[in-house]
Amino acid sequence: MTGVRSLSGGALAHSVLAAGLVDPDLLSTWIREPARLAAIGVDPKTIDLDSLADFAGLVEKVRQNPCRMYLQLTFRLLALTGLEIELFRDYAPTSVRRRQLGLNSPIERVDGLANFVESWAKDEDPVRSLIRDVLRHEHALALLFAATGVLGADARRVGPSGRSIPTHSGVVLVRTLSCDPEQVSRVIRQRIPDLASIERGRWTFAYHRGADGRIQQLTVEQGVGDLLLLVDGETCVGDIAEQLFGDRAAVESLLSAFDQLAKAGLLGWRPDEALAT
Amino acid sequence: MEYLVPEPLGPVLVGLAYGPMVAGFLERHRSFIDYVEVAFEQIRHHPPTARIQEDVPVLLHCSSMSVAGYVPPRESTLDAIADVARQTRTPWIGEHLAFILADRLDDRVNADPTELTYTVCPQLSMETIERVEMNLGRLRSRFSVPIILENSPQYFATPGSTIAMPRFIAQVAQVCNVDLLLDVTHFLITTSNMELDPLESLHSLPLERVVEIHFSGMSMQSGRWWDDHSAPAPEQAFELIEGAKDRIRAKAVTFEYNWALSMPESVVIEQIARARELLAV
Repeated sequence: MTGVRSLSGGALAHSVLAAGLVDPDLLSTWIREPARLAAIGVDPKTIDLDSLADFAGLVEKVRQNPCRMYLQLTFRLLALTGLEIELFRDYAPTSVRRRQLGLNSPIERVDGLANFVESWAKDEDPVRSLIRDVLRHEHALALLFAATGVLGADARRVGPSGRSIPTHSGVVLVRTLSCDPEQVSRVIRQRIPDLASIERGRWTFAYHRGADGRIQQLTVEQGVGDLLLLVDGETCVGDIAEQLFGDRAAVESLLSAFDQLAKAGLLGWRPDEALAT
Repeated sequence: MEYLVPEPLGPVLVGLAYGPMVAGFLERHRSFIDYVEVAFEQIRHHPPTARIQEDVPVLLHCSSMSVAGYVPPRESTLDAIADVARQTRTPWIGEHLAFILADRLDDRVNADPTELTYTVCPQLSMETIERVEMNLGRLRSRFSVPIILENSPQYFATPGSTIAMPRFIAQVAQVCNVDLLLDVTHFLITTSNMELDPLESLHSLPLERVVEIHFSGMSMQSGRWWDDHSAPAPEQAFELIEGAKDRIRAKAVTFEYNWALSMPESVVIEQIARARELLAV
């Protein structure tokens, strides 16, 4: 059981600011129920809690500096759109919980931020969705850079059939974005960036890291992206045809598509199936 | 190993705050800078950081003393700062006129104080000035070099404040007989957020006591100005120093571009040259 420490003057003011900064949930409670501050001896009218929450956003932003090596475009875009403080203020409570779980490595920080932004940014908000999609792109690349023990797959087609099981060769990620990150990069690296010139639409990318460590980013059609997402190393071609087309007869055309993806280095066949057929 | 030795009445020294862009900059433009300013906390958390002194003299900065706070730092922290000060032979230690430790609000017995990762602007009051005086009295005896105090950026009014920031800094300098690290960007942020006239406010400081100047970027977000070490120092920062240069005899100018992975080097070189010219004796 704990009570409230008897503090006053500057010491109390500092304690309240510090408590609000390290505990965003407590700060939110004070914002909702200012009377709780009065109970510890602070007149709620003397403290700008909203500004304190913004300051917590700045502190959170600085705490995420180790992510910058992976998220250069995202941070640049956040600065240009003036949304850094807003985003990190909103992210602070989630970030605290992740730190308590020990998720502190740069890639874990990127994971946390990327997952949070998926719910923070809605499609109907053009600016937030742009930030989300640039972050999706850089998150995918970060995951590939951070991947260890990447294994290739046998790309030889030794007469696969509907029972053959395709598998990713190395690590393959698929992201659908409302922008082309390359074009965004060109725009925001200009001396005076014109954000209105960023093209919006629908792009699908396959991000690939092979066993040799090489990383590539391919623009693919939406259908190819969907196909790659269905490849899990467990499902056979016939079942994938069933899921995609509701028709196992589509196996031949799928085998042809898998062939192309294998030639691009993205796919192979599960070893036991490759040997067995 | 080189050490930083400012010459009395010598030219102003210019350096960069240690961060991701420093190694590349040193490799390509070593002759442009005189030192690298390293935070004690960087060396404490990653001791190999100190190896930078094999390439360039080091000036020590610090955020751990909680000079304007009501909770003292641990003795082990002060011992470690003293060790790094000796090791680097820094001519002074720049510390924030801020707090980074505070009492917990609850009364749990033996609970550690609240420890922040970022220095916070203190309550601006006579009570805090007395606290700074007391803290400095204790801290100074621990180090063989002077502590100079850096003005905090003020984003909002700290509860219980009774003095505006410029007067607070001036009073601290006078009462505590302490020299200053003028972070011109922090000062601009403060005067902008608190709606003060920047030049008039600057002239109200004891500028003759400014030993070192910091430049960094600032950004307007969510309705107010924020510190931003990933952006170049704004034109207003140079104009502000220009407007008071007759009263300033700083020994060193540090550009704090330590958040970003990179910064256009042409911008950094241009700003370094401008600082040297602006503060030439």
